[in-house]
Amino acid sequence: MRVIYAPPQPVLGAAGFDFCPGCGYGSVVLALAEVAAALERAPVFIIDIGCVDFMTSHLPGDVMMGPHGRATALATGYKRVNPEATVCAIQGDGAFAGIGATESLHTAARGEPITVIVLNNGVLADTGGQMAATTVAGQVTTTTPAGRSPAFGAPLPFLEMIAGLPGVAYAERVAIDAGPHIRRIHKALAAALETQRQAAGLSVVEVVSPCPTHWRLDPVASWQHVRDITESAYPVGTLADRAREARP
Amino acid sequence: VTRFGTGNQAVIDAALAAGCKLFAGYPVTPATEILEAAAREFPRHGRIFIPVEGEIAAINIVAGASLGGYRSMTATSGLGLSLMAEGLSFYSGMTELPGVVVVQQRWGPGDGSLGPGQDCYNQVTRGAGHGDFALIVLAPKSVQEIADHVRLAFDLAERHNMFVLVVGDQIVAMTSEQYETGEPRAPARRTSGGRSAGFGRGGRVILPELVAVDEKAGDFHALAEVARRWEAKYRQIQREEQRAEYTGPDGALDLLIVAYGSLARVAECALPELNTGGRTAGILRPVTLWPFPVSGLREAAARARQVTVAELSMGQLHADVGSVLGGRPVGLVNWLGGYAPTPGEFARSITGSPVQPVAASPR
Repeated sequence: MRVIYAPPQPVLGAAGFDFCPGCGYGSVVLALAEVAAALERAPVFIIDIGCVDFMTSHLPGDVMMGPHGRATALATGYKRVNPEATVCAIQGDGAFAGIGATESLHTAARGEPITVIVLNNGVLADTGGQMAATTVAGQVTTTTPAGRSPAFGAPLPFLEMIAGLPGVAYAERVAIDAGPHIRRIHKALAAALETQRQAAGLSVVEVVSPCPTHWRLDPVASWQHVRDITESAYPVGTLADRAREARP
Repeated sequence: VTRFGTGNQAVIDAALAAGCKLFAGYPVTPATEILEAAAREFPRHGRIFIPVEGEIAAINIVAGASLGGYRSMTATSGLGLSLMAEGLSFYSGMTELPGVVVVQQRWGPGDGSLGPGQDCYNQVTRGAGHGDFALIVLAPKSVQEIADHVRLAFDLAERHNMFVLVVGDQIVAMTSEQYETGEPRAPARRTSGGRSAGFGRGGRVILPELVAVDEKAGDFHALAEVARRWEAKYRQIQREEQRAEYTGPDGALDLLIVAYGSLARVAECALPELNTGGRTAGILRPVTLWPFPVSGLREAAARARQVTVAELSMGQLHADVGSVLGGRPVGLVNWLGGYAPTPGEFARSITGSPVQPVAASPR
C-alpha cells in the first residue's frame, strides 16, 4: 500500500477528534500542524474558551487555556518576554469579536507580533448555539428563535474593522466550503507565521467554519451556507498584507 | 537604594530590585503613580512597560509574562481588582502561575471616594474571584513596608505558585517617607516552580492542569485529586505563612486593638495616650490578611480583657476577628467615607467604644 497522505503527528492523538461531524475545526488543526512542522521550534498556543478547546490535545506544541476572550492579551504577555517564540492565539468568533473585542482591538492597535487564528462559525457553539456578535441576519439560534432581526444588531465585521490599523500587518479571511479554499488556509497560516517571524505586527487569519450541529444543517448544506455567508457578511480574501515585500 | 518618596514610588523601586521584567497597568486613584513610576523606570532599566486599555488586559498580560517564565506585576485599586477577579481565578486558582498585584484601597463601593479605606478586605481575603482558591494578602503599614512586601510577594508567589496581593491604601500609597530597597536586579527566567516552568520548552505541556486532566480522562476522580492537592496547598500556607505584629506592653492588657495597614500605624501613635492612668493597651496588627494570623490573634487576645477592632470599613475585619475568637464579644470602631482619624481621635473613639455583636462569618 502506498501512503499518499498521512496527517502530521501528534495531531490525531490516541483518542481521535472530538469535533462534531462536519465541523470545520479539524481542517484548521491539520493545516496548523503542517505549517508548524516547517518551523524550527514548535509554536506556543494560547487557546480561548469555546469549541476551540477540543483542539487542545491535538495542537503541535504547548497549550495554555486562558479566560474567555482574553487569549490575545495572554499571548501578548508571553510574546513580550519571549520575543523569539512563535505565539498563536486561537479563538472563536465569540471571543474575538464579542467578549474579547476590547482585547482584540487593542492587541491590534499595539501591533503585537503574534498570530491570531479566529474560527468564525457565527454562533456561540460550545454553550449550545446562542447568538454571537457575528451571527448573520435572519439566522436562527437558541437566543434568536425567530432569526436574528435588526433589533439584535447587524453581524459585526470585526476583521474589516481592525484591518485598517497600522498595527495589523496581515489579515486574511478564508473559508471551509470547498477543497481549494481549505488549501488556502495553509497559505494564510504560513503567511501569518512568516509575518510574525518578521515582527511586522499583528497577523490574523479568520476561518469561516461550518457548524452543522448548531446551524441545524447537514454537513453538505453547511458548506453551502458557508458559501452563502462569504458572499454576504464575510467575504474571503486578503484584507491587509503590509509585510508582503519582505516575505520570501 | 535609599530614597525619599511615596509608597507608590517605593513599589517600583522594589519591583526593580526583585527582578520584575514586565509591568502592565491602567490608571486608577490612588495607584496611578505606580503606573507612572513604572513608565519612567521600567524602560530605563531594560524592562517591559505596557500602558494597557484596562485592568482585564493588565492581569492577562501579566499572566502571559509569568507563563513565559518571568516576574511580572500590575497595580490597581479595588475597582480594578474587581475587573481582575476573573484573571486571578484562572491564573492563580486554576493555573498556579506566580504573579504580584499591588492594590491601593480607596473607600467605597462603585466609584466610592478617593480617600483611604479598608473595605476591600472581604474582596482580597476571599480570593477576589469565583471558585475554590485563595490569594496570599500582605498589608503594609508604611512606605518602607510596602517596598519590603513587594519583594516578599514575588518570593511567596514563586514559593507557592500563586498570585500575591500587596494591599495598601491611599495613605500608604501617597505618604512620602525615606525607604530603602536593594539595587535593581536583572530579570531571570524561572527554571523551577510548578508545571508552568516547563511551558514553551517543547515538552508538550497543557495548562491548566485541570484542563489536561479533564481532556485526557473526563474523570471526576482525577479532577478531585487535583482539587485535593490544591486544598492541601492552601492548608499548608495557612499553617506556614501567617504573619502578625504585636506592639504594646507585655503581660495582661485592658484593651487589645486589632487593626491593619495605615490605621494600625495611627493606632501606634495613639498607644502612649492609651497606656496612661494605669490602663494597658496593645495592638495586634495582621500583616497577612490571608492567611489570617489566627495564632497571633488568639495569643494576644488571651491576655486581654477587651478586644476591639478598628477599621475603615463596616466590620469586615471585625467579623473575622470575632470568628477566630470563637464568638467572644469584640468591639468595633470604624471610620467610613474615605477618612482616617488622627491619633487623638483614634484614642478618644476607642476608649468609649461599645462592644458589638459578632456578625456571621464564612470563616
